[in-house]
Amino acid sequence: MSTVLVIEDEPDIADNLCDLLEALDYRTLQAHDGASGVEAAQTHRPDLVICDMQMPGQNGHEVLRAIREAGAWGTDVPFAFVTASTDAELKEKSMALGADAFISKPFDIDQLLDTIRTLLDDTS
Amino acid sequence: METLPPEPSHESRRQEALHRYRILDTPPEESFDRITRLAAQLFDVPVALVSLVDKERQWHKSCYGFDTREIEREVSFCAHNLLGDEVMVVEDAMHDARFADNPIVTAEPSIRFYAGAPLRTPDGYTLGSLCIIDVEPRSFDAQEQAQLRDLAAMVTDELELRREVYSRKKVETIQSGQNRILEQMIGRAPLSEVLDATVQFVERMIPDARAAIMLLDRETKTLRASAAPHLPQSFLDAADGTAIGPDVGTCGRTAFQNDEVLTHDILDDPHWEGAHDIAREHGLRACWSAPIRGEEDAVLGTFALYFPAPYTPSETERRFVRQGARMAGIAIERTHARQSLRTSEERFRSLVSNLPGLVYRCTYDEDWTTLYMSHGYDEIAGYPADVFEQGKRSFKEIVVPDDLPMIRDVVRAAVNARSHYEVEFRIRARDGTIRWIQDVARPCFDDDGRVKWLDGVMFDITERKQTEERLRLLETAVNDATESVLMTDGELDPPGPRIVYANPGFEEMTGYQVEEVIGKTPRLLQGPDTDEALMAELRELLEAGEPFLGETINYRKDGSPFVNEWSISPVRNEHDEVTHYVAVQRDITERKEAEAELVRYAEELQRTTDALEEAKARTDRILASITDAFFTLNHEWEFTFLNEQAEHLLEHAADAIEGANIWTTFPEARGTVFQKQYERAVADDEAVQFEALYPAHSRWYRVHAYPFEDGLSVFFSDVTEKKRAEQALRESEEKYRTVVENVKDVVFRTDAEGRLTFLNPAWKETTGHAIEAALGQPIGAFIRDTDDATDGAEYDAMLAGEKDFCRYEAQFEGADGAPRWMEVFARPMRGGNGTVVGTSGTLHDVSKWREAEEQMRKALSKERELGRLKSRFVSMASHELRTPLATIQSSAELADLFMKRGVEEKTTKHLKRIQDNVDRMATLLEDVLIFGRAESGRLPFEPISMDLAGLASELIDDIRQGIGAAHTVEASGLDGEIPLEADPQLLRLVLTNLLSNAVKYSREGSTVRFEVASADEHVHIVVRDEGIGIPEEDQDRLFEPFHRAENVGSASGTGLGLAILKEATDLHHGTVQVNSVEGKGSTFHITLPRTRPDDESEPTREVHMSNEA
Repeated sequence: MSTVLVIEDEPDIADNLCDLLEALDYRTLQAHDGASGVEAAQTHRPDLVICDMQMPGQNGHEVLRAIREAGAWGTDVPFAFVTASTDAELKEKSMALGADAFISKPFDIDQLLDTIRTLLDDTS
Repeated sequence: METLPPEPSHESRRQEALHRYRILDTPPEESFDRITRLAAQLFDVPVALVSLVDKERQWHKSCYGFDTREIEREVSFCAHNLLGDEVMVVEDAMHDARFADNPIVTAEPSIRFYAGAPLRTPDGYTLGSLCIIDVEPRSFDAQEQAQLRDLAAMVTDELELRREVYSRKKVETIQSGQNRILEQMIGRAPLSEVLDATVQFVERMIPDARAAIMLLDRETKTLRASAAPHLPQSFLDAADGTAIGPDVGTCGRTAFQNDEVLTHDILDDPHWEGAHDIAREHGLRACWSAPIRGEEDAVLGTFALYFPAPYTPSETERRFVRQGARMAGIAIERTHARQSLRTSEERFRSLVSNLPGLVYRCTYDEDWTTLYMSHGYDEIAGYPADVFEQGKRSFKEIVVPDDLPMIRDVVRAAVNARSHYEVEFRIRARDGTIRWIQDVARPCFDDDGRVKWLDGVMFDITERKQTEERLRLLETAVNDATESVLMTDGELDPPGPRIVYANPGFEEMTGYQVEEVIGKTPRLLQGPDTDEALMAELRELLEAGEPFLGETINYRKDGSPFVNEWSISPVRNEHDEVTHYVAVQRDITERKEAEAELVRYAEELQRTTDALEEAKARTDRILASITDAFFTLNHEWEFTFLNEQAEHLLEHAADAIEGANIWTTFPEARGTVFQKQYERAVADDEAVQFEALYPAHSRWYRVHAYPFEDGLSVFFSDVTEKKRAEQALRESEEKYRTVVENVKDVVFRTDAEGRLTFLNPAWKETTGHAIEAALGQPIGAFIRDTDDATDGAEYDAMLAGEKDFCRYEAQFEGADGAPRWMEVFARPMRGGNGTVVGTSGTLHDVSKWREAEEQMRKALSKERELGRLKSRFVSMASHELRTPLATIQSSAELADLFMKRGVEEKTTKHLKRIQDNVDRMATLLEDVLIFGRAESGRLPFEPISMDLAGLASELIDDIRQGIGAAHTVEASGLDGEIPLEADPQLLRLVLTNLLSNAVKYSREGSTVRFEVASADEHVHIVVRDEGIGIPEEDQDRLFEPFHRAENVGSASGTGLGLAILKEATDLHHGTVQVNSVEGKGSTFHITLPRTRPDDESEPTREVHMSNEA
């Protein structure tokens, strides 16, 4: 069973994502800010990280960089951003930093599941 | 059988991704060639390619061993490998069903072996392959495949690198382009320049596109070609005046629908019917047009892009067009706002500064066609104003033709210099008389720098001109007079009156130069033998305002004495106050000597008969030598002698009246000053001298009468002309003074050092400073600031004789400390040899105009403030509405999901979450609504007698229930009623905001304290928390709407709570005070009056801030 780490500053949204993933038999972890997200990732080494792009304090890009620099495990773990932004350049920059996918907010459950499955299948 | 390459389902997005790299059709580059060379060597094949699969072709960025840059996509091998991530290997194409029929297999270059590793982008698109090709079949094992894949990754890295560099450059270009346009807008560049720059900016971003801005003409409801630097003029001429409608081209439809319109191919588009030829002629095939919108999305114009081939612009390109349209919209709106401000400002300025004159507006052309003319014109010209306004008569027709070229020159120069101008010219009035007109006007410019019209004021200065002319004549007369004429001011206190004018006669008489004596007192002529007693008498007379006539010994510059006869008359203003003195002096040394001698000889004549003949001869000689008339009288008042001049002046022959009684011969002289003076001289046996009007002759005579033993000798001369000149001088002086004292502008004069020597009453009215206190000080002493930061350097240059006038605006400090802006205009006054002996000028109050300017600035800053508020609102609302919406949406789906699965607990959780988030949005909307009402002053305020303790207890219970065990809320001071007059709804808002903020921004487990203390007139409410506190830099802006401190983190909020709280407290005439330390906690103090204030005074708006130590 794969573990998904959800880093999202809005507790309700984080919880909803987790509920959804749990209903699909994933194990989930929640973090409500960037710093504790990075810590949880290092401690629990999830199989997938889903992270909000805009967060107060450490933002999504900083979280991604921190995880990618955290050794071989961090380089390989699939990383998806959740964002309401449609800014193409922001996405390009994220891709350049090593993000693997985007999940648009508000969620389309089917698209979300497609993305998660693709990301997890690719490395399983 | 040939198989066409399959197209991926996301082909169009893949194409877009490929185009984003901007690599197609670029020249070969070593960084890619290196990789194909390496691949060919590594795998020992003749050909290696970096191939990119475009819509209809396969294009080679690098080709090793193959000199074709592109082949058709139909025959492409690489196009078969756009889906997977695997290396595609074709060991022998002849035996592969997909390629066996392929012409590049069956014929040259006869490919047999192919291996291609996909070039896959980070976002998952395959752009093409790194492929190797051989003309012999061969195998390709897994290790080799891995190697090829590694090389392909290098190609991909190279592509990424290129794109990163490209996009950084693009971002820089975009930003610098936008910045330039914004700078232009801020710098108030003409609209046409800003629009041109906007068009060119968009053109730079989109290759092959030519852009055009069309502006909406509201009157004709058509579009006017405005900025399109790269479209041919003949096309623009055809497009100019495009109607707005559902069927008109692209732009006409855009403006009609207020929406973007795309014409993929103009030649296929029925809306372009009739314009196909002209579009084809100029090579315009596609058109994309977006509306330029202004306030409330009203259409201001269109922003269109034209392409040389049928084309649908990409989303990015559309974004640039929208951005361009937005910038154009801002520029147009700003220009409109500025224009309307300027129009009203101009009207205002014309009104304020030109009230006394006659206001007009006319065109700037050969005819000066009158656009507007205020009433009163008929008083000047005899023609009613509307004669000119309706074009029945051109104003030019009544100007004296000789003056026309001069006026044209002045106007042209002013237009070139963009300054206002002043011109004096003559007109022929309806009654045929010539009138002098002073015209003060300025050209008004439109945004493109063209003259819109001339605005001006005309004054009838005929009278002033005549006075000036008279003054000029008089001055010439005075200047040319052989007698010395001196003018002084009216100051009698020591050191005495100062000389303000001296004529050349004075120079000749005294040897002093005019410049030396200006500002000095006539005392400089006095010396040891000057009659002190007479001087004292002179002072007395002058103080009494009487004229003076007398003689005394004066001294020339070289020290030589002379007998000076003084005639001094005071000049009075309309209040009958003496302001100046006019002194006419004659050197009478010679005459005195002659007179004295004459008297001696006359006596001798009586005593010595022997000497008679000789004496008579001598007397005659002397008499002939003096020019004055002379006669003698005996004790019986009978004429005993008249000289020729006397015969002439008295109009009687000597032999006819010798022996006749003077009072019989001239009965009209009886009782006059003449009789009195003669009688006095005889009675007192003392010489008399006087000037008097002899009414019978209507002439003035200066008379010296000397008594002697046998009677009286009388010398007299006709001084009528001199008297009249003096009188006229006095009158003009008075007239001039009346004008000066009644004008609204301050009139001043200074000496050569720039110290004030004269100020008219307007000085006191305008600045409040006393005139007496200001005289003697430099004008700069009253100036706080100047317009051009030169601190009056121009003025100093003028004093130094380097300039002929100066004009600048200066801020004067009024006596009340208030600043007054005045326009200083001054000219130098020059002495006989051209040196500057002083200055004279005017101060024109321009404060009102300055104030108008200030108001304009304030309005603009208010506009900016609103803009900021709006954008803060939008960013708050987008976050604060999006989050609960996203939650509601996902919770709804989850509730559905869990309900279907029968997980009741989860279903309930999500239904509650939906409810909570709906509440959160409702609260937000409620806050916005209340704030909106507060901002527009419509917050209902209905105070009633109520109990604060009851309300507070109720709210605290609610809060406690809501938060459960997370926080402790302690309340004190709520035992018993606390009656006060307040609006319960507003008070509830205040308390709820304070309590919910205290809880929201505190860690779990902390305590919130609520205290109420009531005094006689006030209640004091304190809410203390141990929360995150407010950073110092945010405290000043705490009550600004939509402002949230930077440490709020993800706590939700609108930034409106405290703004509303402040409004509500203000309505109660209460105060809010905040003490806060970041990380420690915040304390809010609210003080409310217990009774409703009676007066309707403005509620207090002060916010007290302090940091807890």
